[in-house]
Order: sequence, then structure tokens, then C-alpha cells
Amino acid sequence: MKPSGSKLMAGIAALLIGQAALQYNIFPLWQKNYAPKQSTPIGLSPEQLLLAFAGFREFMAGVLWVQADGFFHSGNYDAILPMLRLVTWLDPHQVDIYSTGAWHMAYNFTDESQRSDRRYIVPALKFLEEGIQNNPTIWDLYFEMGWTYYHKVQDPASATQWLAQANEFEKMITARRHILAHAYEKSGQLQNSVDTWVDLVDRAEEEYRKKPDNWEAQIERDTTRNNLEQMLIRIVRRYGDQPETQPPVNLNFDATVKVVRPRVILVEGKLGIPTIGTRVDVIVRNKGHNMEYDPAKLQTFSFEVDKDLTYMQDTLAVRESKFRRELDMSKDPKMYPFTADEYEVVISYNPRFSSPHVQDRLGWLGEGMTDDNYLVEADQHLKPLGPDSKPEDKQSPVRMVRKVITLTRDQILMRGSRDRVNAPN
Amino acid sequence: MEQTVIKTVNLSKRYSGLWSKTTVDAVKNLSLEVNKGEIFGFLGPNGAGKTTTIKILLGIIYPTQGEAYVLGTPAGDPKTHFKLSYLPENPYFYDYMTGEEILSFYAQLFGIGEPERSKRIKELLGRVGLSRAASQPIRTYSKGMQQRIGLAQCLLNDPELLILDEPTAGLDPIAHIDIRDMILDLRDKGKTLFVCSHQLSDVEAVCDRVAILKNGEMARLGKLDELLAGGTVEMIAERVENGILDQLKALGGQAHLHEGKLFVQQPDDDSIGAVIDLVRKNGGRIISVLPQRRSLEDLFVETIQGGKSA
Amino acid sequence: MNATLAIARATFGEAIRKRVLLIILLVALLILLVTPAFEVLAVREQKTILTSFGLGIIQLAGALIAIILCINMIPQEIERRTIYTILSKPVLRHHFVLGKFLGAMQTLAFAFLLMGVAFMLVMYLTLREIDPKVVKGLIMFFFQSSLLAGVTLFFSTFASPLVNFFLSGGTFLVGNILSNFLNTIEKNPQVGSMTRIPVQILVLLMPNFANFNVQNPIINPEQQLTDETAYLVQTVAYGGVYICLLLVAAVLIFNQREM
Repeated sequence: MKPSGSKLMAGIAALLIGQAALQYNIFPLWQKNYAPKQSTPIGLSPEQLLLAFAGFREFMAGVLWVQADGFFHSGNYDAILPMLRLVTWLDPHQVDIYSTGAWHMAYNFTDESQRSDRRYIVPALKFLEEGIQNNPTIWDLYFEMGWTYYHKVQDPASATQWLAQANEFEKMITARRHILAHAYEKSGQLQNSVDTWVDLVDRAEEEYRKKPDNWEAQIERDTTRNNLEQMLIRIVRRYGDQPETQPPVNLNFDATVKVVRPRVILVEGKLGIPTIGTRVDVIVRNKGHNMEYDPAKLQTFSFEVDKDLTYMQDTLAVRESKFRRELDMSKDPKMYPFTADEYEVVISYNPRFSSPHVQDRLGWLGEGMTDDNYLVEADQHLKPLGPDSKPEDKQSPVRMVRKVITLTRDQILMRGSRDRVNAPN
Repeated sequence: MEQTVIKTVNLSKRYSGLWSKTTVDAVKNLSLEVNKGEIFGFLGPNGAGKTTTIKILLGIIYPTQGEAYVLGTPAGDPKTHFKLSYLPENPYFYDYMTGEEILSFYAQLFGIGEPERSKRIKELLGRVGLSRAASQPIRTYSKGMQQRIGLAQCLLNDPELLILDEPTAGLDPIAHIDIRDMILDLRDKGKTLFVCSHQLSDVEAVCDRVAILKNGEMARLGKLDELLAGGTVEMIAERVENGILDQLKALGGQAHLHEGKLFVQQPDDDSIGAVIDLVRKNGGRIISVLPQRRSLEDLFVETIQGGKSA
Repeated sequence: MNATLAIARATFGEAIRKRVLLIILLVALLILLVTPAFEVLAVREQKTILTSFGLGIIQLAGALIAIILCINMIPQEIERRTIYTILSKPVLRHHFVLGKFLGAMQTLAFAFLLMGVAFMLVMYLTLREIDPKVVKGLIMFFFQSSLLAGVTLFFSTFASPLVNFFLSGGTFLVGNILSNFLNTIEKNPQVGSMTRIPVQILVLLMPNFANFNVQNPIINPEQQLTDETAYLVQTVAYGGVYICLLLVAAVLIFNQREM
């Protein structure tokens, strides 16, 4: 007799429900822990896609990254960007691809004079932001974000927000914790800076107690102690009973711009600072285009940049109160397209990024300086201070000197007149 | 009363194609009974339905109609399988195993535990003459050795019923005799044997009863002696004249002279007396009178080609 | 149970002697031994490449072994008529199916052990360290290939080996992609419920092989996982329940089957 299958059918039904219930529980956890994060595969063939899903996702990411590494070394930078997209899509948890990729975008697209293409900074920040969303429990990318704001964008106030988050992680490398204190200092949040140093000294001493024979622990303790001491001394020097920043020094700042050859300008000027090691910032940009380094400006990460935007930024050293340098933008038409009609050359000096001994005289916020013609209260934003802010931390906009000179496209390209152009003020 | 070991009632098996409408009736209305202690020959050309019937008896396939009982229970009952054994045609065993291992494997399927298992395996290996090859892998065995190990696995459970499919196929003459002797020996021990075979001489030598299947239907069934009885009678004589031939032929047989000897063949023994009288009357001297029993082969060919139904 | 275990042992014994299987194992071992060559390429990502490639290859080899082992398991027994000698013994068909499956699992365990040891050896020789988390990945992939063996065994109760190869291979691929697909769909607000619901149902019905792929956090060890133990336990349970489902279904079909 043929066996009847009704009991087996009942068993199948029960097991089917059982496995579905388990799958129902597993899926959200799987999504959280193991699923690839991005949903837009770009440039993978169906075969590669299958391979990627059939257990070789991370491997493909690794291999592509190795390939990208090869492009780094051969200088084929443009080829790397799509790979960054692909690799992080395949494996959004390979954190160093985010950090290396963002560093690459922010720093490595350079012109003949090693000036980086600042149009890539916002995509770099966006890329890091995506990396943080995909890896919120790892400190690395918070730090990278902070460092990029601090060092590349020169916006220490924004940097402090990210660096503070990075410092929350116990695993964070000790030496990198210092950057937060520096960023507080540079952004004028002195009390926060002091607090951070105090905290770092505590940590370092605790560590040294645990490992008295470890020379690294000893160095860390000495460094943090020293830095805290320095910070306190500076506060006294600059904000004590007899602040060294007073009376303000007159900088007698001025600058001129000459177009010497098509797309080559000569910037000359004076800045009355006696000490050496001071640098003046120069920006050449489409008129009115104030670069906003805010990843929120981008919907999603894209490595496309505005092909019509010319944005050059450089610094000029001041020697014996004078500065003078030719800035050549003729060799990199891709970076400096000069397709707009009007440009502005912004020449400025911001005491906040000067070395400490200069700041001793001029103050963090420029309160120790003045100028007859070009003094401005900077539009540079500062984030609000913490709830424990002391009165002396009360922020005032930074005082800086700035001169803006407008040039037309014809002038920069030296069309029309063969004469050298003395740019109008 | 004889005990019935296998019984089928109007057993039918129809194969129908999954997609096409063609159907094949492998077995049609087969009714037979096999009694305890007999060797039952189950014959028929290829495709007659022998293996199909065996598979039904073992519960490997299911009949479309009719009933089949083995050892008193419906076919396919695994409990019955403790008391029967089956040797398929050209059996294949896991050939990486040694003779000993394969017997151990099958013994475990019967649930025979140690130390009984080892004891029985050793005994059986001796019985089928494979003691020396016990630790060789089966793939090194000759055809005859494989058949013998096959028979050994059939005997592991000391079965009441053995179903053997072509047990002597492809064996050399000596191996034939070995297997034949073993079958007879098993019957002497009271086992029932259901033997499928093309080797008609083997069947003739051992079987008590036979069934001949043709196109899935029973064509002949009966005791071998009865089925083969009623053959011709041959007589040889000398010193007879040519003229007697016509008179002899009138008696219904065949007769011819060859080098002075007379050869007569009569269809049955009823008329042989008249032939003898006639020859003697004519001064002939009779050399021999031999009743010729029919061979199974004759019966088989006659059954399959003649279309006669029993 | 004795009979089931005897069939399992016989299946394992035969499987490890099968040439196809040995070849795949050999290929897998060979590739594992070749992996150190990647270190020439990889400047920074040695460990990533080695771990991901090693685990990937082991997963693939495990899947291939499971499929090739099981597509022939029942058809071959019928073809060689061994199944008749087995089923004429007091062995029920579900004993047979279960025994075959356990034999397949034993074979897979053996293969994973072999590949795992080779992999860790390579790891040690290349990186001078063995990441114990790799074992977790190997075990999960073992369960994954066991599930695949169940799928293939189920198909083998009615499909020919060639058809089965594509059926099982296809199921494996789809079962690896499906969750990703649903994940993508759920994150895309433009996809309507007309598409989403069928995919959700499929995810709940199909064997989800992607569940067993836990290699990402092994390759990126800084990742913090939510309820990892709960996930692993549930996934193994899922594999077990799904395998039972497949075996019962296989028995249901196999019981009706005429050989």
C-alpha cells in the first residue's frame, strides 16, 4: 500500500511556519549587522554582482581597493573615484577605505604647484559622513572628519564637534586626542581647551601609574602636562592684568594684483608684523562664490565637481613685513577653467591660524591688531560654546584684514589689451 | 496444509507516462501462490514483468490493482523484511567496502548487534567460501565472488523467504553449480525460494514449481514434473525392411532407415506398443525404447511463441 | 536509528572516495595555498584580502561539494540497484533519506575541517597570527552548505542530476541575493508595495543562504554587532528547521516514488 502523506504534510506546514518565523526575526538583525549599506550599485556587471553576493563581496572590495591603490601610485587619480564608490558599496565596513578615500579627495588632486583642488573637499566630507553613518561605532572616521575640518578646511570650530565625538571612544589613539584641545584653542574656545588638557593629563597620569616602565606613557604624561601649562601661561599673558595684546598694533596691510601672463598673477603687498613665520591667504575664485564646506549641501555622495568653478587657494609667506609671489594657474585648465566673466582675488590675514608667538601679540581673535583700511570682523562662523563656558570665552567675531580685488575674465586671460593690468581696487 | 508464503491476487501494474498518453501494463491480473519450503521458478522473457512483480512484493513499487501478500502480511510491510531477503540481478554493492564491511553494513540494517553480528558474518563468509577474501575490497572481487557475497547478505537474517533475481547470470559453470547447490541446501533447511531466472537448465535442476510470465500475464503455472510430462517416445531397431516404413507412419509417428537401422519417434507412449508389435512381426530386433521427457526450454519456447495460455 | 547511522556511514565512506569530491577539495586546498600570492598585490589590505578570499573560496567549495554530493545521492542508488537491497531490509524510506543526509553532513564537516585547517595554516604562515573569529565564519558556512545539501537532496527525490544541478545552484544564488534585494527595496521609498510584498513573501519562504554569511565583521573586526549571539543561535536554528522541512518534504515525495 502506498503510504499516506497527511501527517507529513502537517509536519511540512508546521516547519514552514517555524522557519518563516525565525527568518522574520533574523532579517532585521541581519540588516543591522551584515547587510551591505548602500543601495546604488554603480558599474558592476551582473556577473560581478552575483559573485559579490555569493560570498565574495568583501573580497571584491579588497581586490578593487588594491587596484585603486595601484592607481594612487601611478597617479591616475580620476580612476580612483568610481572605485571608491564601488568598494564602499561592496563593503561599507572597510573603514580605512573611507578615510583614505576622503584624504585622497581632499588632498591629492593638485595642480602643478601642489595646490589642492578645493572643489573636492565637500565631496570628501560627504564621503566621510556616509562612512560614519555606516560605521557609527568606530572612532576613526569621526576623527578623520574632525581632522579634515581642522587642517584642510581650517574651520576648527566645526572640527571640535567631530573630534569631541571621536574622543568619546575608549579605543581612540591617545596622541590623536590632543587635536581636540588644539581645535578648541584655535577656535577661541579657551575654557574647553583647558578642560580637554586637564582631562588628557588625568588620563595620561592614570596610564603612567599603570605602566610606569612604559616610555610612551611617560612621554604622553610629560607632553600633556606641558601643553596644559603652556595653555595656562598664554591665557595669563594674553588676558591677564597686563595683556600683551594691548595696545593693538597697526598692520598697515595692503595688496596689489597684476596679471603678468595669461592666467598668471603676481600678488604683492605688505603686512606690518615684525615676527617671521606669518602667512597671508590668497584665494582666486568666481566672483561671489564663497565656498561652503558643508556636506549637507550634497544630497548623496558624488565625486562630480562644478566644472565651471575656479577656486584657487594658497598662502604667501611674509618676510620683513612684505609678501610677493607669482601664482601660475595656466597649467591646469581643468582645475582653473576660468569660464565665468568675473573673478575676485581675496588676500587676507587671519591671526587665528598664526603661530603661538604671533598670537601672543595679536590675540586669538585679533584683538591685538588694527588696520586703517582693511580691518574686518570676519564672517567666519563659530559654533556655540558649551554650557560650562566662562565669561572670558565669550566669543567675538575674529578680527582680520582682508582685501578683495575684482578681475574680469578678459583681464586674467589678457585679452583685448596687451598692457599689464593694474587691477582696480 | 501447506503454508502460503507469497500470494498475489489479480495483481496489476500499469505504468503511464507523465506527459504522454502511452501506458504499459507491466503486470496483468497475476494470481499466484508460493508455498513454504518450495523452490519456485519465476520465468519469462525480458520485459515479461518478473522484476516488476518482485518490486511489488518488496514494497518498492505499488500495484495499480490487486493485492500482494508476503509471509501473511501485505507486501511492503517493513516488519516482514526481517524474515525475507532479496538478491537483485547483477547486484552492486558499495565497492569500496570489503566483503566483511558490506556484510556488517547490511547486518546493521537488520539491527543485528555485536557480538552476534561478527559471529554471523564470519560463519557466512565461510559458508559462501569467501573467508580468505573477507578483507579485500569488493571491487577486486570476480563476478562469482560478488554473487556469493550477495547471497551471503541475503542469509544474514536467516530468512524464511529468499527472492533471488537471476542468481546465476554471468557466472562460469563451476560457480553455477555452487550457487545451485546452495539453493538446494537452503530448501533442505526449510527455506522458501522465489527464483527468477533465464538459466532454464538451472531452474529445471532445482525448481519444484514454475510460473511462466508472458507480457505481464501468467502463461504457465504448475509443478515442473507435470508441465514437462507427456513427451515423445523413441525406438531404435535393426534388421527391418524398407517396406515397413509406410505401415509405421500410418501409426502416427515418424520413421526412417539409416545404415540399416530404423529410427521411430512416436508422439506418446500409447501407440508405441503397436509399433513394437509391428517391428517384431516383421522380424526386426529392437535395440532401445526411450521415452523422451520434454525440456523446460521446449516448454518455455512453446509457451512464449505458441501463445498458448494455461 | 542503527540503520540510519549505518547508511550515513556508508554514504560518508563512499563520498570521501569519490574522485569528483576529492578534486574539488584539492582545488580548494590549492587555491587556499595560492592565496598568499595576493600579498604581493595588497599593500595594506593583506588580512582583508586573505580572509575574505579564503572564506569566499571555502564557501564556494562547500556549496559545490554539497550540490555535487547530493545530486547523485538517490539517483545513483537506484541506478546501481543498491537501493533495492537496502529497502528490502527492514529499512523505512525516511531512514534512508535521513541516513543519506547525515552522510552528506558528515562529508561536509570533514571537508570544512580540512579546508579550515589549511586556511588557518595559510593565515598563520602569512600573517603570523590566527584570528579565532574565522572559526565562527567556517562553522556558519558549514551550516550553510548543509542547508544547501538538504535543498539538493530534496530536489534529487524527483529531478535528474543535471536538472538538479541547476535547480540547486539557482536556489543557492537566489537564496544569497534575496535578502539583499529586499534590503535594497525597503530602503528605496519609491518601490511600492506591489513589488515589496512579493519579495517579502519570497524571503520568508525561500532558504536564505545569506543569513549564514557572517564574514563581514570578521574581515572588519572593529564593527560592533547588535545581539550577535542571538543572531547566530537563531540562524543555526533556522538552518535546522529548514533542513527538517526539506527532509520531511523529501520523504513525502520519496515515499510516493516508484523506482
